[in-house]
Amino acid sequence: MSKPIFDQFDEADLLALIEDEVDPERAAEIRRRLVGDPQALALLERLRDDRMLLRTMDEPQVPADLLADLETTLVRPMLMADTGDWRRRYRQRRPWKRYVAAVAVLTIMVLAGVWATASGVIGFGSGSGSPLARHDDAVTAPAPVTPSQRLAALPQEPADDQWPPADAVIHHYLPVPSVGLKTAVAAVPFSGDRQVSARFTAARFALVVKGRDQDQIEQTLRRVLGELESQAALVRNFSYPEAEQLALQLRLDRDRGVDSELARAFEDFAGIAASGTDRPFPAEGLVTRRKAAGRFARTLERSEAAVTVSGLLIGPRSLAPSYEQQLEFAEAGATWTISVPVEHLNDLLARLQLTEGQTTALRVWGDGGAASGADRWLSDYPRILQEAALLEGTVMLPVVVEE
Amino acid sequence: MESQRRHPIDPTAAPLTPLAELQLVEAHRGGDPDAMGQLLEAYQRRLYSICYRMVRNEHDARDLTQDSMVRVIQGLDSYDGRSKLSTWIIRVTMNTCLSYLRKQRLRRHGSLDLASEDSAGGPIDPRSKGELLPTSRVELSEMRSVLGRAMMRLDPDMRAVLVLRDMQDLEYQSIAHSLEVPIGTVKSRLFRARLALRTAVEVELGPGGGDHGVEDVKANI
Repeated sequence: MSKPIFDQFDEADLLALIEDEVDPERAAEIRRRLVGDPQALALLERLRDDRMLLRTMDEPQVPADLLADLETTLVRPMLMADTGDWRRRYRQRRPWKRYVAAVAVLTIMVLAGVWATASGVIGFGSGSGSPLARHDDAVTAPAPVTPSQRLAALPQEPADDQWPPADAVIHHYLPVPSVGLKTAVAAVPFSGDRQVSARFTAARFALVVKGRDQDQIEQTLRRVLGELESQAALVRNFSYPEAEQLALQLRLDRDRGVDSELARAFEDFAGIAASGTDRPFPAEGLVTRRKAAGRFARTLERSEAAVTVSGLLIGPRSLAPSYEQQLEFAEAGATWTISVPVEHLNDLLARLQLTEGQTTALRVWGDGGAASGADRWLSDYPRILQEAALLEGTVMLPVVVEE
Repeated sequence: MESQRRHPIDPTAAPLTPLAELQLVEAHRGGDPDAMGQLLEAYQRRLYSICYRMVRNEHDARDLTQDSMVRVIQGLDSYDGRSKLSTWIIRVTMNTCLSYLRKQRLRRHGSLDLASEDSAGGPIDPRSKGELLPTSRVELSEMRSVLGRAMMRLDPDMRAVLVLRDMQDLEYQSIAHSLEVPIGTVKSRLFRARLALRTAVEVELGPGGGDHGVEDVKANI
């Protein structure tokens, strides 16, 4: 057996590295020390891969009659007679005991019936005064409310994939009365209860695109952004499973020593590769960022664990939305996030109409008349929301324009 | 078995908020006959998933889920609210599973020593396993299947910590409450479980699927 590996590392550190819970500096330090031991490094990566595979395992299908079966075979008898783990005990009985028990129960029932008939407790008539008639009355009683119905009647929190929530107040702002202004402008409250007044440099909004070929849409958006007389950033938001899958594939490629395109493209944000052009996309690549799990905390009891989410960034980092915003968009279902300097917002909006029909959002947008400027578009936002809801479509969601 | 892809947000599920859960508990204690049904309905998917992961057998998973639900029904009055209801229910379920698996193990009189079987794979050059690593969706699916089988080679306590951590996405604190062990034990067990799982995967993959790094680590801890 070769020299034990990992012996120079704290188990807690290694676990944290596997669990993606160690800070980047510490992770880099551990990896640096592992470089001299390729076996240990390979093992570490495999442990991480196993973890990722486990986290994306197929979910077993719950038997449809699980609860119904539980109710009829377990709970009712249990509630009638609290016999503890009766089913298992019942199963463990020997067969002859079951027969004896069944005969005993049958005998008791027959004797009880004979006694009841003889004493007049139970009559065989069906007159209104007979017990059977009362039973018939019970049949006409209202059907009991099922658990599903009661569950549905409970006030439900809006689902994460339902955006915007029907009863939500979306706080966003009309940032610029005239988009052409580059200097400080007073914001006009469009919805919500606050105003923003600042010098704006970039307008960012999320775009939700559904039911279309993502690559084609990406090409369209790139073309439109490329036509702007300014820099712009386009971020394609990956879903969490996509990101997991991507990261796993990347690690596997690296593990196999494959110099894949994915491996070349997948870089940390700071090290994002240059695209060879200055405008409008000076850099592009897959970015990986970390953030405390938000929506997972609500559903999976993780309140502080970090998750890694990736997105495709096309454009300068300085124009990209903050990671928190990107995640917010992704969690709201946004597939794209676009950033442009605010003075070019009008131009962008006008040009995006060229893509009418390419996306649900843009079709809704275009059908209701041209959005010739950000001010008009934003003032038209309630109608856009309304029409999108009618079409079960999606909307463009404006967000706070940053200073 | 029919299955569906896991997704952090399952649109078909109807998770209850902690407040709604507590309201249902109170309603149950107040005599509402439907409150328990609603609770179980909300939890059935999760409980079945835990049980299935622990036994990897639909029939047993069904029985264990139902047994767990019965225990929840029987014990709900004793739930004191010191931990989250979900944690308490998971603890009940996991105890049911572990108890069942320990009995199963006793019945086998230790004839199947998984630990020794795990280490039977022998040292293998890690590079040689590169050929076996999944590169496509199909291979990933196959790899998940291997992992599923490998899970069954683990000691139930180790399997439990992996199920709760990776498949139920619980925090260490919740796992500690669910398994009734200190957090330090959870972390230590989790690390060893990952190593054991890797060894078991290599056993599943057969000759050529081993990795002497795992053995070295196991010898070292």
